[in-house]
Amino acid sequence: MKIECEGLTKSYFAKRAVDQVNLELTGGHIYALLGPNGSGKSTLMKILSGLVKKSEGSISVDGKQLDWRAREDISYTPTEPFFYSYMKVSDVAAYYDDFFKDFDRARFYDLIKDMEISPDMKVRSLSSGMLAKVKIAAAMARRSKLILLDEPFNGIDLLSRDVLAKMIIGEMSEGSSLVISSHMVEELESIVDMAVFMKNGRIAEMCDVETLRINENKSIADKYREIYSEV
Amino acid sequence: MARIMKYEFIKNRFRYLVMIAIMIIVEIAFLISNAFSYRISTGMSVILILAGLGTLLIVIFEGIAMYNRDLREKSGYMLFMTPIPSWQILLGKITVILIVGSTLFIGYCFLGFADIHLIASAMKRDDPTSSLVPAIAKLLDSLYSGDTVITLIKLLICIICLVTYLVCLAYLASTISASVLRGKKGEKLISIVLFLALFILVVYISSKISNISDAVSLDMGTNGLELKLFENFNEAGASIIFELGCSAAAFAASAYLLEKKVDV
Repeated sequence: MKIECEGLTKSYFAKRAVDQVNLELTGGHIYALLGPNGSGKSTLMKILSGLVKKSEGSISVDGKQLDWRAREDISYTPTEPFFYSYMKVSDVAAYYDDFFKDFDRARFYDLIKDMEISPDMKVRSLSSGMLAKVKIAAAMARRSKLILLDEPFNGIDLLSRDVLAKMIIGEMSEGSSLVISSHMVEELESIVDMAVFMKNGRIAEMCDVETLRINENKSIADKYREIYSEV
Repeated sequence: MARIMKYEFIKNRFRYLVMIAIMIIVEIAFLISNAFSYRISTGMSVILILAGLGTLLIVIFEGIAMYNRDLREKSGYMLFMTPIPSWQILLGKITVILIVGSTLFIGYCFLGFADIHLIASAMKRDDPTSSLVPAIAKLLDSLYSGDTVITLIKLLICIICLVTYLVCLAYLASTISASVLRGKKGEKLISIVLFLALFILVVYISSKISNISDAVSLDMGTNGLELKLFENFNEAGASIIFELGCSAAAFAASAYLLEKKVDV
């Protein structure tokens, strides 16, 4: 899957949350979407998932304009709790199974079992960490061509984050792309192979993590400090 | 669309169960009171019919409130991130409101009128001189004055028309306010004001075309309750068509805005 954004802009009255973004996401890569609060990461992800509508520019998915059909291949997991409050974990599986052809219910149950979460647990009674795990399991149990995870590690303890990071990489389908936004820059270092830095709604820089390491002898965290500490 | 309907129903199932439970409780109260006082049991059966109308309005109100929650709360992601076009989401929601609202309304009214029949036959047998006998007979006569099946079909058309028209206008008002005033203060107030403005406008134009306002009436005359059903239904056809046309236009506009303009 190839996603191309050209001149992508999202305005909220006078404020531009995403400003003239040109971006190309290709299959087989894990992208880190980085930037401080308010830099436009979440808005960009929501535009790609179709939840937020662009004000200007274009987005194409394999050459076709983004519309509701693209949601069959795009899995988006927001940082906020979003499951219906009546749901048990098993209801989440049933819901995804009903709406997404690429959802593998057995895989979902395997993932939550590994996370020691029972299918009978009520979603509203889960801790923020457990809820984050269920959200990640639901996203990764889909064989989506593009997976968007917005701040997936929020509320998860350090040890669980390591386990989840390994699980995310292990569960990625061949040829699919993953975009992760997170404030925990260091922890993305070992997961991602591309880094996209956003600043004031624009793409400040996009680089290959390995090339950055070899050519400039810098980590993503170094690059992050370099970009965002600029006056 | 069937999947949307399934989850709309699941989300509201407790409310629907409460409405069915109320119907059962009132019916039990009727059966108990019928053993002691025909006046109280007659009151109970009228309450059932009025409760049917109340239930229909609650189902409509809840359906509109749920759409507002979907637009403004994070749980809306569950609905709008599915690979279902907006028009099918809206149609699924409206269909559930129509099916549940009509079923509950007909259920309440059916029980109410069945109870009135029960009282009428019991009173003729036990207390033929009661002043309630002619009043109930008059009510039933007015109900069966024409072809009962046609009357029920007309009633169903009116319910479908009214529900579709109210829900589509409310959906349009909410969608416009969500697309223009995303996250701003007063968004809900604007959608209510917009709905009222649209409603008054459509009702005004509709009344100029023809008048269906007195198509259904329940009057307490000197001879008792008198039910008037669709005496000018055929003349009101133009108004019904106009209102359905407005509903279709509101539906199409809401679906377009949801697909192209509304941020969830």
